Amino acid sequence: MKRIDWHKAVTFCLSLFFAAALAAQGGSGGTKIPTPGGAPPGAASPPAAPGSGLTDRSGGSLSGAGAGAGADTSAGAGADTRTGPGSAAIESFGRWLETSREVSSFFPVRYRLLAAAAPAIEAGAPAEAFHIRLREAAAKSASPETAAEALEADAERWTALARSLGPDWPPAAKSAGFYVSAALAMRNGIGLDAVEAVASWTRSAKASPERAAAALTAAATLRASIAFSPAEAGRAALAVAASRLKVGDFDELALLAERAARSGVTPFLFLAALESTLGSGGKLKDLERRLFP
Amino acid sequence: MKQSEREQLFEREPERAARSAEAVMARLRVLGAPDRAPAVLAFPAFVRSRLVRYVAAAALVAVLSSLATLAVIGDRASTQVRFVLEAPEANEVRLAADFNDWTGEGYALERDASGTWSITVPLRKGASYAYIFLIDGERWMPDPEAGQALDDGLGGGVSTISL
Repeated sequence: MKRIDWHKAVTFCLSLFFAAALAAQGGSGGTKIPTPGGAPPGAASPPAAPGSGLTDRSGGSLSGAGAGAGADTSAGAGADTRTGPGSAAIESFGRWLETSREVSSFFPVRYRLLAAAAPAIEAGAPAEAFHIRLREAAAKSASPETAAEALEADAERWTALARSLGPDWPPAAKSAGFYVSAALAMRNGIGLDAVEAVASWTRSAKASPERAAAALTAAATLRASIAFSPAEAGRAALAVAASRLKVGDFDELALLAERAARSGVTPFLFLAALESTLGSGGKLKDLERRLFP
Repeated sequence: MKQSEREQLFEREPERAARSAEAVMARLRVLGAPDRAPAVLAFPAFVRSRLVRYVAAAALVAVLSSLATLAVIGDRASTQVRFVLEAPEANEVRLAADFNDWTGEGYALERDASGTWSITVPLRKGASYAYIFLIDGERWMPDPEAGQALDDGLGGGVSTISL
């Protein structure tokens, strides 16, 4: 039987340990936080970053809340060197903006995107939600300006939402999906208070965040279908979320709303029927019978 | 068999043969060979007991039924969704959606003779999904058959489907 050379084995293990430690310290497999000098001609220089904790290798800041593309670097703002989970997520998002081929078309506005995202991520919004939105923008060949404007608007919504929901809900694995759906709903006329109400119900009922997200999307579609006011759409969102309808029924509900609108049913009457029927455990057929006796 | 024949078959004397066997067994013990029967054979009553056999059968049934239940649940948790677009003039149509990171890669629709493009995608139930069609890699559009498209904040619309 071959004997183990313990000296060699221990040396090998120690080498592995130090190699792993060095790799972890070096960070992200060789991706770099770029210096302003590395930016292409015409690219925006990094603006100030109060609160982000991100610094580049020249000591300047990589992001700045509220600073737009082309804003000058403020040396004084780089003094904040907080290092929390949010800062790590912001840094990771910044690296992704710099290095990802998926969103390379947004390179010229990367600092503006980072500046928009930083406060939201600091507030607790998932960085993955920003990734999803930018991938969507890239798929649609949106211009850098359009993508930046869209992301800034979403970032404002997500900041407010994150401050309202707190860090415990939705669970991390489903957080990005919920935030993206909430932003879609809010962009289409659902108020923050309605999103909060649906989230609150979902938490207390221990329902899935995906159902909450689907209910918000359904309410936004209902609003487009039957011209709900934002307040009515918010009430509809809660009624749909708390109903016994399956998520798969939500699209049928929107079609029913369209049909009702074509038949002259007012938003007020539709909402009354919706709340009354679904609130008492009714199904779509019950609502249909009530609207079209 | 006669006595003389028997003696021919067993030429060795019984005493000598016994000594030889003792020597062989002693050598085997030195080499570490087991001088006992294996443990399984040492507990034949345990192995053969009805209780053990019943427990083993029950465990097997439980495992099989759990696997079957999981398969049924998994099947019910997802569904096949067919996305269809009428675009006879298109050369390529892809489905970009939140469930594929909006890339459309691996989600090319197939064209039939009439110019109808389609793809069937397995999706998990209990959630809503947003999607668009990418046409020829340069244009995109929400699903014209999916009812109201929602404002995507990027200057266009996005279709949604709830499952």
